[in-house]
Amino acid sequence: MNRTMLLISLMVGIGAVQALAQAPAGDDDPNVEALSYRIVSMPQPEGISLEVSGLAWLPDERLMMATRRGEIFIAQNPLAASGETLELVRFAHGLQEPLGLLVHDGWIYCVQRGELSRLRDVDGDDRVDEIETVCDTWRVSGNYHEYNFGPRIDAEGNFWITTNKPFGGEPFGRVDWRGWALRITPDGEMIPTACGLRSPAGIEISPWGDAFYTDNQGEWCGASKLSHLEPGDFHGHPWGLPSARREEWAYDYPGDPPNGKLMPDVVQDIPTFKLPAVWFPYDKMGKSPAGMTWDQSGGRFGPFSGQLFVGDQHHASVMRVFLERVNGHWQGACFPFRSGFQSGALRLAWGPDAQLFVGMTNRGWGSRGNQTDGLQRLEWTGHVPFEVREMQARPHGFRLVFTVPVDLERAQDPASYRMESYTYRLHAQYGSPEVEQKTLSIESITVSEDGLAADLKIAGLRRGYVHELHLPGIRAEDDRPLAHAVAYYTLIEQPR
Amino acid sequence: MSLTALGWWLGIWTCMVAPADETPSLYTAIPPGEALLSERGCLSCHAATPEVESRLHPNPAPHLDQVGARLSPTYMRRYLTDPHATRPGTRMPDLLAGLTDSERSERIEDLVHFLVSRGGPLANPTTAVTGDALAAGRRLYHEVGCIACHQPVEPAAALEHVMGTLSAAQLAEMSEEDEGLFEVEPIPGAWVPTDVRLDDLAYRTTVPALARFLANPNAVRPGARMPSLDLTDREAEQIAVYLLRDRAERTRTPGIGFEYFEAPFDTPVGSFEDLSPVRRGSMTQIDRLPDHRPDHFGFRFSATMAILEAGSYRFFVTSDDGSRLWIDDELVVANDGFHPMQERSGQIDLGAGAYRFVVESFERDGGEGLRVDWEGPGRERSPVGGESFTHEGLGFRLPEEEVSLSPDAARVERGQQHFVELGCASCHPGVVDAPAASAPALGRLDPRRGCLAAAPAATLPQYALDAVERTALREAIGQVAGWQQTAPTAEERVVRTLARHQCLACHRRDDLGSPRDDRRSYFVIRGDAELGDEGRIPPHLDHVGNKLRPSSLESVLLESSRVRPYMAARMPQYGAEHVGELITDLIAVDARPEDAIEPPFTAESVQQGRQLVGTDDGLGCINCHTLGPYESLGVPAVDLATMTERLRPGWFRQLLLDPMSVNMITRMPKFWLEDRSPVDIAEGAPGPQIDAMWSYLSLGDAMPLPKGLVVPEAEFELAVLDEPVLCGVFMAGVSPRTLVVGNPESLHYAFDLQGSRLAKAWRGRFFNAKGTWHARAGALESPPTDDVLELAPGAPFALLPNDEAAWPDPESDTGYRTLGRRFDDRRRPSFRYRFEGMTIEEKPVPRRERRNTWLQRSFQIESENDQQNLWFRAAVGRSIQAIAPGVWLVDDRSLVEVPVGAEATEQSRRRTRGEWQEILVPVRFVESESGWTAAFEVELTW
Repeated sequence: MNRTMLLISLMVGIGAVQALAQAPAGDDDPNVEALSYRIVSMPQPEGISLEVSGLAWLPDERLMMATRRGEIFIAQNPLAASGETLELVRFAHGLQEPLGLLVHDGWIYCVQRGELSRLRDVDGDDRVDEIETVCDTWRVSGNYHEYNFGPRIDAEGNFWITTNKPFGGEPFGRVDWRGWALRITPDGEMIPTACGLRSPAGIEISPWGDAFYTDNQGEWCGASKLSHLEPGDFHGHPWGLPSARREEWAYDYPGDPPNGKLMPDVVQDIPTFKLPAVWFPYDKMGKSPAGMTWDQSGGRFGPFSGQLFVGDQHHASVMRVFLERVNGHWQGACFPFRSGFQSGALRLAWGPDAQLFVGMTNRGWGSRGNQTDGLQRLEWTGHVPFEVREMQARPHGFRLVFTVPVDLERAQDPASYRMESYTYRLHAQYGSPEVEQKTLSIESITVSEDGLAADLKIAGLRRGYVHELHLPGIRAEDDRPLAHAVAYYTLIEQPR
Repeated sequence: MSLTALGWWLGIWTCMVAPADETPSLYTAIPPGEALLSERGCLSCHAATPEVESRLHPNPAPHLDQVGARLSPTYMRRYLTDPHATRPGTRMPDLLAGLTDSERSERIEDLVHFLVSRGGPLANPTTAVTGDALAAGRRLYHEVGCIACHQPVEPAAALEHVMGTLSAAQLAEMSEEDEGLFEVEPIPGAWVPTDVRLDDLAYRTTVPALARFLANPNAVRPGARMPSLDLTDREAEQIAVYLLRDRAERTRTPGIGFEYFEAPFDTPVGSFEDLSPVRRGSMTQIDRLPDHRPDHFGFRFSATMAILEAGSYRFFVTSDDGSRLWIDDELVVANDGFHPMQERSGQIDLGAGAYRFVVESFERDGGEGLRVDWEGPGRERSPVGGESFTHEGLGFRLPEEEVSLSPDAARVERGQQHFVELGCASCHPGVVDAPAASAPALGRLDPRRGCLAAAPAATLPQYALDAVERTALREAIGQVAGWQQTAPTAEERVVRTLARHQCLACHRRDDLGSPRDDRRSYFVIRGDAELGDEGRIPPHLDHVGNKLRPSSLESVLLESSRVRPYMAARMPQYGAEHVGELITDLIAVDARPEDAIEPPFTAESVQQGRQLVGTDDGLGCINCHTLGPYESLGVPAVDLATMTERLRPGWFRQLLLDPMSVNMITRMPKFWLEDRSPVDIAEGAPGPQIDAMWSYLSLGDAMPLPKGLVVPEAEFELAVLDEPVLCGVFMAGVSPRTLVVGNPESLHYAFDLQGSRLAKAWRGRFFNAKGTWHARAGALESPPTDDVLELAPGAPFALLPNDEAAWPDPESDTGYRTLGRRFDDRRRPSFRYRFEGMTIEEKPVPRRERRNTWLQRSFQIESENDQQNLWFRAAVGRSIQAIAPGVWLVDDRSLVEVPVGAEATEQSRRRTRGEWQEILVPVRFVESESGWTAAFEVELTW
């Protein structure tokens, strides 16, 4: 640990003590989030637009940031104190909307509109000297919405990217491979991997090696979602399906999606239709999920090690996701986690000491937060928030795991809970309402002796439905309410 | 009338002899008779040799072939009756002196009919204008330079706020003021009458005819004694309106008048109380706002509305921000408040009759707009306006009796005879066919007889010469034989030209001239540039042939170029026929050969010059001087980017070393006090520093910007300073993967990364990225100029089986694979791609030298084998011509220079494919350790 980091750690400690000294926060008090997770602002120098679209750490613990204006900056002092201005070196410019960054094997990888590129500083002056085209097999129509995201690298060294579908005019003509997940081999060969994507603003390889992506609600995408990406998948949007008739696609044509079916029923028409891991109910969780990252801090970021954090551009927030594999399908629950960032949270990356760096922009779409762009970081204050850490599916209900012991009496009272379930339609309209809603009753509750877990027996669970759980009556041992008394479990598979 | 013919000739005389107690100047050395011979048109009847003609440069009489379209018959009649009384100082002789009154008036009537038949009768439309036009004419007349030779109408002090508008009452006041304001002080050496008052213009002609004349005086008066002031048609009309103001009448004109106000307008109901209009004008209908500043302004429209059909009318007012509409003081529509475009309407019953119609609208800030519609009996909804609406303005029209004359055929025929017989045709050719004048040749004249007799016979032209003039003419005629032998020297010619065209009314040369005391205050600065006399008084002409390059003299004298945009006075234009020779003469007299020597041009000197011109660690030239499109940090002194193009190097050196030595009134500081400047280049020595500045400035528009310059903050504007600036865009007509590259040399290009092709190049402003960076962006971009060089489409290289084979179709798959790009130590990109086992790298580099930039394209090719049939396509055009070996002119616009090899197979060649021609360059490889390589360069300029 260098001096700076030591200093930071000390400050984090002091901050935590100060935070703890504050008055207890109520359910609606935004400070309840701040009590455990502090947002640290590092303004950029005047005149620099820092519309962060990619984040990656260099081996020397400097933070590299790609921007939507095609620049790549190196932040010399990413661990600067709150309010201290970032010192930025411009590594590159003139790139065409790079929307992700990856440091690999001495190169900086990014995907531009028209190519996967890698960049290198040969002479050590922190300025790019070489840009190599790794793959430009796809073409560009000239539509603004044809963003590309990634790359992320898998165990075999393949680069994963996701491509947005266009909206409106395509001045250079319609092109293939829009709304796709693509793999690029180390040799630059493009492998079409999954189709039916809409606006896949985040892609990440999980710690166990699987790829996941986030998609934004719209036509043929009833609700924003996190989905597991496997070769051969169809994720619901028909825009890019003509490419699935090309020989580069190693699988059968998925079939044309039925317009208006309930999501769980689509698989009857299209066997390769992939239901999501998690739906993010519209506006309740966010409106535009983007970058994500798994917490592998081993507890240095608080009690959520192993879980996934997802940025939401519109809500300028970070959401939390618990995942489990049920009958071979990755699924789980999402929870509100931290709001109040200064702009749309597009990219997330871990700092050297388990700080969560959030790269932001809201240009063109708007967001909560009063800034157009920038970089902030989120630090755990050391205070353990009272949260539902996990919501696991059980054959006859759900198991809740809490971060701190609960008040047993309240936890055993069915009136402390409320659950409803609903699903979405797959259709051409923009977004789907929550349909087939049903209120579920809690039949019985078993709370573990240590007060850290509660098993809820619930009748009428439905596969392919979001199970929205509210826990208004739950209190911790110390009588605190939950920081976020809500969880949304997307039940695709039910354990047998 | 304070000036008589005698007066001005005496004036010249005194002026020419006045400095007699000093060293006699060249001006005093010109025999005054020479000027008289030239100006009085003697040579029109008395033939002279070409030598004498060229010395005298006679002033031809006005063209009369279209005189009927120009002058009123009433005026013609008056003028012909007594030319000297009607236009004191006129050079036209009285030709009818010997006739009886009745004969005389009969002939004049015939002549008038004849002249009216030449292009007439004079059209006499009503010219309707607003007070604005009159005020503008008043300002222009007094500012642009007319008053250097003509009498001002008003004292300069009265003109301080001439931007306003004139009411009829003010007009009346003006005409009372304009007597006896000005002393007559002669212009040194002037050959023609100065200070001719223009009062009677209003009785001569109409606004359109006068405006036509003002816009191009040389078309009527080929002698160019009255120069063109480079007026726009609108300006010419404004001045005409002002000069004919005595004929102005209040009129009703179709349309809706408006007054424009500037005020905060920050209350929801626009208050126009206590506001004075900044401007007045009129519109034919209210379908938009007239010109206005961005925010905080208001308009009041008013008109008389004639209702012919009684009934119910509805008025619609759509405005941003608020507005109101009244009919005869009844509020019909209230659309108050701050709001975006919002429609409100109101209904009113109107009987047949006239109503006062008023609309007020105001704008606080943000967007703005206005539209007023109406509908009523038999009238669908449409913008208010048209013939139902009239407003008060100024109308100009001659009384019909002054104009109306239908040429009588018999009189026309007789008039034509008189015109020939009286000798009119000698001075006014081109009207009728007439035999040459039968008067004795100039060289054989007896100067004591004929026109020059003390009392010329009544049958001869009466020039109303006085004794002084007669003496001068007699002397001059006595010298004609001598002129045959000795042509004037260049110096004498310069003096004659300056005198002939009254250059010294504005300029000083050889200690003579510059605006006369009573005129100096009319020379003003446009806007608020604080530049003192340098900003308002035209520059002196001492050594001007050594100061300016020939091309610069040419552009100022012949091409209306304005070096000093802040100066209200304009450089008059006389035409090459009259002042073309002046350019070579000034050079011959003034230019010192050693001052033509350009200092060495090196990259280092450019760098140093850039530092010196900038602020911070330089001398800060940009504190006062503008630079191309960029404002200075202070006053707008002459553009630095044009300095080396205009000035000769030696003069520039002298100016910098000791500014006062070349211009006594300059505000330019001397930087090298005690032979050292504070800038640490060459130890502060003036020589190397001035040379470095010259080198840098000689890049002209291609100058990298100096330190301290404030680049206007246009949002998303990409300014190029020290290094290339790159931006990836969708580019129209190129590809959605286009990289635009801005270079410090101000020569920029667009490279198509998809097709590996250099696509476009342009100079000047680089690029504004708003379309690519603002909101959701994704605009199809184009370079910010129309002056774009389009390069050959399609693949740059192809393997052709023979040189007849077609170039691959641009739409086809070329088999190119993009490899990426590299940056050199000056951050210039090179572009790499693969093609048929070859790796090709192109590096476009802007090159520059003095006043020129071009693009050098360097190619490096590595190949696994010796490619025998690889071709580079250097250009495609509709017409390509060979200029020199390897140099091709494409579409008369760009030059492409390609390598020239020793053998025919290595030569570039032109081939024609349908409507197109193309230049192909064979690529030859040499074997190297790693395989085969080729390298060559192509240079491109336009």
